[in-house]
Amino acid sequence: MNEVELLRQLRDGLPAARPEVRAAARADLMTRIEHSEKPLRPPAGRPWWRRPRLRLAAAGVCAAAFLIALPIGIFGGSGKVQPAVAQVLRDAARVAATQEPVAPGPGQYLFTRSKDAYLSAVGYDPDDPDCQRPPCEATETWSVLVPSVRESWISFDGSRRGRVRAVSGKPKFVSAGQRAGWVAAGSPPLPRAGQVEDSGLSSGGMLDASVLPTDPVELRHLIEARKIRGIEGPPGEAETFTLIGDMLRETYLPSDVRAAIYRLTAELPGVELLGEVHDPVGRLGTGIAFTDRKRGTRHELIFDPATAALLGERESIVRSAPYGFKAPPGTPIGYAAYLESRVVDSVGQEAPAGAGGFDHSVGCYAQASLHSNTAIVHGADPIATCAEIWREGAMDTSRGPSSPHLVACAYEGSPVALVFPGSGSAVCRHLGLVPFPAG
Amino acid sequence: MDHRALDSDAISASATTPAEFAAIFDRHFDAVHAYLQRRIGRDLADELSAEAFLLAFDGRARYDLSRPDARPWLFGIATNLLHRHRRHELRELRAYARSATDPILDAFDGVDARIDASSTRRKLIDALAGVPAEELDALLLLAWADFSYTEIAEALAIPIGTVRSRLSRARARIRAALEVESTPTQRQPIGDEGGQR
Repeated sequence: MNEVELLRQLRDGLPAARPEVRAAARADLMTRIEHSEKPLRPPAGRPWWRRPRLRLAAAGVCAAAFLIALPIGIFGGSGKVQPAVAQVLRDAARVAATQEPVAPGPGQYLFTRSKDAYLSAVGYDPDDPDCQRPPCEATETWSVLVPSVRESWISFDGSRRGRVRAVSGKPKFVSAGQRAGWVAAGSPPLPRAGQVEDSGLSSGGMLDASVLPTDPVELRHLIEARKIRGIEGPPGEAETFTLIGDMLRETYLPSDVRAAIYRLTAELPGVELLGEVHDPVGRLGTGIAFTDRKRGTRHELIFDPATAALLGERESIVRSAPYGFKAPPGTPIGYAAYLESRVVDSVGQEAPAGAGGFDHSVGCYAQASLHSNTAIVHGADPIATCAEIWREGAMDTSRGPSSPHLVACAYEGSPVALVFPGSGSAVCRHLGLVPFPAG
Repeated sequence: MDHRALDSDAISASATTPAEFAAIFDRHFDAVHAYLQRRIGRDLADELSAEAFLLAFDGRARYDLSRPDARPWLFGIATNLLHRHRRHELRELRAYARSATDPILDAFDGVDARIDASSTRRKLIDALAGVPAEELDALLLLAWADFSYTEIAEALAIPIGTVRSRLSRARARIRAALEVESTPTQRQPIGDEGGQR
């Protein structure tokens, strides 16, 4: 064997370039190509992702983040009450009245396991080391649905901290067009599956059934006036429909209150009957929907006619580009299926071992407005967590690596911190919020 | 896309439609990365292979369109980048010779980096550390990139006669190192460079 043959065996058969390395190199090249006619920008690098505006089916602690992050639906929906849907919902109310859930004891938790998916944007941040000064523009972003398996433990009597644990799945592009854009940009790395979000819920997360009337007219009035703690949000019929979903998911309510919810929904204008439909995991149920024409989305609730339990829900777009991307009407932008619900004695019961953490859910807002772009994150210190995101340039790419003064607010009684640029509690009051943490 | 079957077609098209250059990356990135990784290890290879394609794109106007295959050109760019890390490469080769593990292999899970102290491989690696850079470039393009003499000449921008003499000297050094019962510190001076002192 000659020396060249021997050399050929040396360090032979090493693994090929890792896919993420290849993708990052290609993204660098595509950025260079894209800007070859313009002044060069720093190469694209570290992927980041953020969750704009929507997080469907993130009940309990996250419901507030979901609600407030949506554009106002003041003029949404203005249909009439349909006799068919009213009949189906009155039937559901009768069923609900006969299904008394197991009454929880003091200190117990409601455990819920669900599968959901929410709209998220994947994109690129300019590579940190090369971006010494502004402007460091983020390049294009693409919309994906990130599925997750979510488990929550919520304290019934509000005396204990709860927990939410979600494990993400593989992101899926919302449309062929979004995927094509991502491919054209060199298929940059996507968020990996298997990311775990594990956060504590401060006590008081559970809707307090004892204050809820069993008379549907009275209950509807309280909901529409946004007078129920934990069921707050902007005005509008679409919002009311969303709040009804909030009351049915990840909650414990006595049978007469649940019956009242179905009865009042039967009287709501604009609610459509979808008939027998499949929920997001393929179970058959009865579907009702509300279309928010102003926002361009439709929200479906699917319940089991035999038990009046909420099986799942789905949100889809009804016109192109309500969220800034083009996709055919009917394209889903979020869904949830409620798989299991039971009373347990401790947080973490039913959960895989090894996880923990007591972070807050935090919405970082780009402007002092509830309708500005939002990044939803978790962290022990809401202001420090958002300041970090500002310094990364993810909130405002023109700022460079700095954070403005930030102030943390919340809906009264909500454990979700909402962090805005600005200083002083006046910012919170101006937005109809209270300083966080309360007191 | 197949309508730019030749590298030279894609590079030519990229003069007016820069995105055509992506085809060059798609065809050759893995090979360039694999070669760099074998020479200087995974982490530096990750960095340099990305840089090589940026430099290639920036320099595409200087590409000789009479050459259908861009590989020699790309490996030439990669080789120039390697020279910045020549000291690193030597350090790794010497560490290999001394420590009985190959630091480049050691970076990978599941790859056995150990080497028998008396083995041919160890002598070989020790000999490589003593091969001058320009000879080493020619030798490893031959052994690790399967380049022909003509391709080596293109990659290193040297006449083909020079390729022959560099390869001949490099191979003689290696042969000598393998034949002699040498310790890592004793090396047979061979060829011009060896006799200069």
